Amino acid sequence: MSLDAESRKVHGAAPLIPSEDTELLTRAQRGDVAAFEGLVERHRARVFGLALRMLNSADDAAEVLQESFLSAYRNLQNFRGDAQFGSWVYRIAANHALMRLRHRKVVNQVESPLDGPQFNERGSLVDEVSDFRDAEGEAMDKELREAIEAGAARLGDEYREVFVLKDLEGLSYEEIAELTGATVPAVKSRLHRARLSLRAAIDHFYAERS
Amino acid sequence: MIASNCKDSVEHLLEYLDGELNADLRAKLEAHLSGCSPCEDFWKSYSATPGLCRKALIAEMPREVATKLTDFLRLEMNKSK
Ligand SMILES: [Zn+2]
Repeated sequence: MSLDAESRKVHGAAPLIPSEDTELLTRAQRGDVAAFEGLVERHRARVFGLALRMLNSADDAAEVLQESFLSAYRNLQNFRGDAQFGSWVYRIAANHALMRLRHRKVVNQVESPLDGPQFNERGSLVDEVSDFRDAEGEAMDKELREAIEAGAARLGDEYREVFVLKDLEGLSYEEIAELTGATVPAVKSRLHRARLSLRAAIDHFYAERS
Repeated sequence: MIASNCKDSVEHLLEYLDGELNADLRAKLEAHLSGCSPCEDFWKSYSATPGLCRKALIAEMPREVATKLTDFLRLEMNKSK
């Protein structure tokens, strides 16, 4: 395994990098550093995004990014070819991000209350709801983006992690339960609370604007 | 629980969106939604929320983060060579 500039030039040349993860993986498992770097290049942005949204800190996300790919590199020989490299590395990243959240929690335990709908004593909705369904097809408004970012940042860690893993990353309830150590009903309940809170943040944005 | 009022309806929206409500509850929820415009609007906004968030929260990775990652990994891989 060589990392000198000359070999990088040879192996790193664009035409030699196959587009498929599986080919890169096979080469990386044989010790081809350029192939591993190719895998990193293909998946780093999504891993960074996951870590950033879960941890809500660019510095922590950059560290989780490094830890995750180093861990993937060290465990490359244990990786079975029947799974997707992408899902495997996202799982590693989710684990690292969760560990960091758990650690941070000890230091920084402030949970803000979640926003949700208000009901009267008969259980009827008392809020007026803005119509924002049409916005789905439109280009994302900068201020709306900021409102959603702020809403996601306000969620408590246990709500945000479930929301990120399900609604942003598309993991199954079972996968999230396994990663977080929560039960499936608890995962669903947290996701529901997180969505209600984010829905309220978006609703508030539209109500202010109109 | 019977989806008889707004509060009960809102509680069932996640399962409804997942298509996991049983036929009885689904019928009750749909009956409530069609007769209660605040809930109908609430449902629309609830179901639009994940997609809007996904769109809003796409993260760009700064160039220097990518460069640092490459440098870090090369250093570590060199160590284990
Ligand atoms: Zn209602």
